Formats: sequence, structure tokens, C-alpha cells
Amino acid sequence: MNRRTLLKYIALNSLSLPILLEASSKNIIKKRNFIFIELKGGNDGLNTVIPYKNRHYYKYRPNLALKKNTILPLNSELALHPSLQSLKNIFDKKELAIVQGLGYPNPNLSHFRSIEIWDTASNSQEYLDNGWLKSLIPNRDKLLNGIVLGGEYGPLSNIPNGIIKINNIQNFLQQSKQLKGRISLTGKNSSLLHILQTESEIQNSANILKKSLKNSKKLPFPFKKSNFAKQMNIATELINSTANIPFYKISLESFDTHTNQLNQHARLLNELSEGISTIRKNLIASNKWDNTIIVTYSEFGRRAAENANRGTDHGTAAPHFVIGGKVNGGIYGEHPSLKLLDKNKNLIYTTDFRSLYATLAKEYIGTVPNSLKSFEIIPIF
Amino acid sequence: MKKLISFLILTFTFSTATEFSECIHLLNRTSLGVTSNELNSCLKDNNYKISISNILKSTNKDTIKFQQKPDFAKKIIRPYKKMKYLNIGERKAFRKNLNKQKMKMKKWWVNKLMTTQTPFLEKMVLFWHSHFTSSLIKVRQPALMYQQNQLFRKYAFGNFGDLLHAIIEDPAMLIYLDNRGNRKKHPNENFARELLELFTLGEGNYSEKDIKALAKALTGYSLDKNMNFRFKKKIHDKSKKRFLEYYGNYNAHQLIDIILEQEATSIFIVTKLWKTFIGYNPNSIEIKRLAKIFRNNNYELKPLMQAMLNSKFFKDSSTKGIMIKSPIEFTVGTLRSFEYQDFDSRVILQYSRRLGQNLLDPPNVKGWVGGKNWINANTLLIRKQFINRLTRGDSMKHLKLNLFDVNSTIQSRSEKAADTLLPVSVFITPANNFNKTLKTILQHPLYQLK
Repeated sequence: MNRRTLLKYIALNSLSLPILLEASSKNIIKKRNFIFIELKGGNDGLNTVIPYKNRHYYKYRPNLALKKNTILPLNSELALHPSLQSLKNIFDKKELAIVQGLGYPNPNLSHFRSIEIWDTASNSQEYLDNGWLKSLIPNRDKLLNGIVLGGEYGPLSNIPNGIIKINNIQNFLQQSKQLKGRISLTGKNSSLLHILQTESEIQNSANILKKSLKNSKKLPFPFKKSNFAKQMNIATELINSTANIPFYKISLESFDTHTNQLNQHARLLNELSEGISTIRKNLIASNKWDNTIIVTYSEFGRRAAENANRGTDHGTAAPHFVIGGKVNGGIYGEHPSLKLLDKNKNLIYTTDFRSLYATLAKEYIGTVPNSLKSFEIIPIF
Repeated sequence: MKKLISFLILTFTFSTATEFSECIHLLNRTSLGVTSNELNSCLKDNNYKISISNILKSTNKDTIKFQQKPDFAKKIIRPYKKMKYLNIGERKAFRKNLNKQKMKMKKWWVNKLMTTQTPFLEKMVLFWHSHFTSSLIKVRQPALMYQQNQLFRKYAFGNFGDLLHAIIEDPAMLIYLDNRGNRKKHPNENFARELLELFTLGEGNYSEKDIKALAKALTGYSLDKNMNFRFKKKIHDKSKKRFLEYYGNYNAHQLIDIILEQEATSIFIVTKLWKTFIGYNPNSIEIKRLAKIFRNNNYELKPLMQAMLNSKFFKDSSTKGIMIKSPIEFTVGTLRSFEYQDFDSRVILQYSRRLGQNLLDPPNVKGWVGGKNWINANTLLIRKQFINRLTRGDSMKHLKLNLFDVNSTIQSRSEKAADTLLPVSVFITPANNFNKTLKTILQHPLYQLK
């Protein structure tokens, strides 16, 4: 009966999974809720934070340049896209930091490779497996560390403890009841191990979520109905709960605007802006806003010059937003030159995106992980 | 002792136990679920090599070319006048009709997947759909997606080079990767970039300069107003291009020939096929061997697949159950194993979409990455829900149990069921009724695997 002993199943009362300790327990971890918003497809930085005094901008964008009378000036050089009125208001309250020209050396123009570089904080020619947040997540068995609400796991990839992906909390709790016993195995089948790990993750997470949401109240400022708004809604509810989950990953899709960019881009930025504004109002009401940090990111910006289809092709450097009650609002870093472009006619980055990561890490655990030590801190906190 | 007896019965009934489990392994990877017909014919072959030949031979039997074009595939859908001149009500009606036609196309394919006599062919068509991606969302024309699907059928086990030459003139593809706007004066690199990165050479085997050259060569590969392919000479860039180590005024077909000369192309395709049908961690020496077979056979897919399925790495028992079933394999495969007749294709589509595989609408140009990505907390629960729904009291009546000798004891039926439905043998304690045991087997973590 050798074939029956290929895999041995043992019923266990508690399941112990391999857990990697990365963040040292000596660090003092602040209570923070990070919401990472992936602008999927490559957001057009030049039409998000607009260098409206720069004549090159109008030269590159005969059809796509935004009209001066509609944009929202931040200073004598830069303005926000007209759809970002709510973000402009937050900027005026000094809770929005704009970090300009984020990118990395030898930029890769493929969606998949470039987002992998951003997700793993690697160099352009370096292939890493783990999401960069792994170094910030300590060994806290049975606690939830991150929730993926949209898109891929991204910065939370390959973190063995307490990361789950869900679409709807109630469904999740309801369905998790189906998993009764726990099983473990001996053997080398990594696909099976993955399934068993997922089962145990579901049970652990469901227990925590159930407990933490017991006394949750209805949000005073309701979100709209879009998929993005739904993700924002769940993040808000969880931040308001007692779950104490530090990382949320949200995704807003369709920024890959190769054709007829203007309307689509305006719609997407509006959704972003309104979503962030609603989350802010809710978290101010629940006294959580000061502990919350919202960060946008994207695989790349877009080509300086528009293409023949009233769209833009894959680019490189772009600005991103960091928003929160304790953020020092303002504009940071340098705007990439519009005169001097790289060999693909793309913007040359001015701040390495890993500077932003190092800054967030320092704010959270008080120190910068070794892999990010060489990058300068941006004074946004 | 009881176990030993049932083992003997099993051995007696089905030649040898090894061959039974080999048939299951082979069918798990080449079919959609396991039906009693397929299982019996594999057992009758009584020879692994012959079974592979027969399975490959059977893929010629796709009857679709004899069938009439479905309605949704007959014509391009357009508003009766330009979209911008339609009033709001007309626009709404137009979109509603468009969505209805798209849904028809999706249902058409699900029906095909559920009823096909050539499941390996459908799997291969799915493979090409996830490789040369296009989506209904972007293409908007079911007729064109149908045309592309026919192309995949034609070449599924045909010649990869021919398929590649055909795909650069495929209307859905040209729309999906924005090549209609790729003109001499304003090259659009999208198609060229993905063609090199995702369709042929793979990352690291070309440079930005090669993308630009291929983009130039692809200028003018466009559509006429009836959305048929048309090479527009006027906007084609005839200038000299430097591509890899070549220099000349090539058109796109000539560059495709250069791409096919590269070892990297054969390795890239063979690796992807391996990761789809054999396992997630290919052995690089074996890949090289197969890539050579692929090139020596002028990129014919049948000899390649034959060699791949006969590879010692595939036959090795450690390869059993190491892959995760895709949503289509999980849903359609389960229903087919039970010869489920009155299925609702809409429900299958919904489940498959919620499980991460929205048929005809892949998430992006990379297609479905699959593997471990199929399973996360969210999707695993939906898979369990699907099984629950299927094995609830009254639904159970729709399941035909032809796979598990209806007349034998519960004990041996249970063992047979576990051996047939799970990719590796484990002992399942039989419940006091067979349906309960069946439910346990289908909810078993191993049932997610193939």
C-alpha cells in the first residue's frame, strides 16, 4: 500500500506554519494604518501634477495639455488636474505631500516588470521575490498584518504571516465557517502546502475580523458604489475596528491610457480624489486620521509627448501622493526636466522611489531596513 | 484486511493500479475533469505512450468547422449612426445589445468546454487565449473575438510559426494592442513590446532598440472599415531597421521569421507550455531538449506535446497533484466528471470569473498567470462554495456517478472515488452513505490539485 502513504495527513489542533522573523522586535512599531493605492496601468504624472508654466509641456501635448483656466494651481509652477479638487483642498490643509519625479535608474517600460520592481523595491536588473513591506512586518503569529482589497498582492507579496485577500467581509466570514478541521501534511508538494496555508489563514483571519468588527458602526460619510470605493470602504471599516491591521492594498485600474486619454484619465482621478476625501472625513470622525497614511504608486508615468491616438505611451518618472493627518503637506523633490529626456524620450527620475519607501519605513518602525539604508529620507513626516 | 481485499478488487478490475493512476494523471492534465469514457479508453489502451498518441490524435476531431457560425459572430456591431450623434436612450440600448452579444459569445465557449469531445484541444485554445491575449472589453466585437478563437482552434496543435504570422494580422489582436494607430509618423510600440516580451523571446532577450524596430515594421498593419485586416502601405515605414543582429528594410513578417530563428523563442514557448501542463519548476536541461525538438520540427506543436507528455519528468510520480486547477478546470472539470447535463452556462461563467478567470476577458496582456495565484483566501472559499452548491441534497440528483462502480460496496466505491477524483492516493474514511463521502472528497484540499 505504498501509494497510500505518499502523503500522510495528520489532524492537528493547532497548525504551525513556517514563520519568518524579519523586523527586529527591538524596534518600536508605531500604530499606523498604511493604505497603498496602486494606480494600475501607469498613471500620467504630467497630467496629474501639471508643470503649467513650462512651454515644453504644451509642445509635447498639443491635444492633451490641460487648459489653464481649468487646472488647480498649487504654486507658480505646478497645478493639479481639474478632477483633483478634493485633493487640492487637502493640500491646502497641509495634509498632502507631493513627491515629484519618482522613479529608478535604467527604467523598464514593461508593466509587469516595472511593477515588480516597485513591489519588491529591487534595482532594475535585480529580481527579488518578496514584497518590500516584508521587512516591516514582525513575527506576530495569528495577527492580521495586511489586507489586499484589489489587484495583486504587490508590496505584500510572499509574506507568510497574516496577509489575506478579500472582496467582501461578510461573505468572507460566512464562508469561512465551511472550513472545519485543520490538516497538516508531510511532503514536498508546495501547491498543496499553499492551499493548506490559505485554509489556516482563512480561519485565523475570520476569528480576528469577527471579534474586531463586533461593535462597528455605520460610516457617517458613505462611499460611492464603484469597485474602488468598495475597497476604500472596507479599509475604512477595518481601520475603525479593533483589528489593528497596519497595511491595506487597494487598486484603481485602467491608467494604461494609450488612446483617447483625456476623459478616462479625468474619470479615474476624480474617483481617486473623491475616495480619498471620503476616507479622510470618516477617519477624522473616528479619530483615526492622525494614524493613517495613504500612499499612491504606479508602475511608471507616461511618455512626455502624446502619441497619435490622443493617448500616451509607457513612460518613467512620475509624482505620487502621501496623505494623512500627520503628514507635512507640501511639494517635495525636483520636477524632472522636460528639456532633457532619456534616449526613449522619457522623463529622467529625480527621486528614487525607494527613498519614499525608506521614509515610510522610518515613520513606522523608527528605523530604515538595511536594504533601503542607502536612500535619502524625504522630510514628509 | 478489508483494505487489502478492496485493493485486490481494484487491481483485478483495472489491470494494474499503476496504470489506473497514470491514466488519472494523464487525464488530469490533458482533459477537463475525468469522464468514464475517457478513463475507460485510457485503461483499454493499456499503454501510456499509446494513450498519449490517441489523445493527441483525437484533437483533430473538433467538429466546429462543420458548424454554422453563431449569430453573434456573423457581423460587426455598430450603432446605426456615429456614437456621438446618438441620444442617451439610443446609446444605452446600443450598449445593452453589445453586452448581450458579448455574453452570448462567452456562453458559447462555456457550452463548448462543457460538451466537447476534444477537451485537450479546448485546453490548448485556452492556452493560446491566455498567451496571445485579447479581451472582449477592449475589442468590443464578439465577431472578432470569435474569429481569433477560430484561429487558435486551427493552430492549437498546428504550427506555432504559422500562428505567430497569423496573429499579427488578426483584427482582435491589432485592436487589443493598439496597432491600428501605429503609423510611420507616430509609431505605437505597444504591440511590438508585448510581442517580444510576452509572445516570443521573453524579457532579457531583446533591447528597447529592437522594440522600436519591430514597432516600425508593424506600422500599417491595420484594419479596413469592415474590420478586416488590411496592410496600409501609405502609413507603413519601409525604412531600414536594426533588429537583433540584422539590418535591412524588413516588414513584420520578415522580423517574425528572425524571431523564430532564435533559440530563446522556442525556450520561452516550451517553458510556458511546461508550466501549464507539466509543473511549475521546469528542469532547464529538459526544456532545452524539448525546445530543440520544437525547432527541429519547424515549430510543429504535436511532436512537441508528444515529447513533453512522454518526458520522464512528467511520468514521475512526484509530478502528480503538484499543479493547481484553473477555475475553468475546477468548475467545468467537476461538472464534466459527473456528466452534469442541465448546467447553466451563466453560473459557470460567474464562478469562473469570481475565481479569477473571466473567460474572454483576461486581466491584462500577460493573460492569467495562474499557478498558486489561483488560490487565495477569497477564491478558496468560493471554490468550496461551488462544491457545496453542487453537493447539496437536491443538486446531488443531477450528478451521474458512472465513474464509481455503482454496484459495489460503499468501501470500494469510496476508494474508487478518491482514486479517481484526487490526483494522489489518500485514504478517505468512508461515511455511512456514499454522497457524504463524495462531498468529503470534493472538499478535500487535494481536489484543488491536478
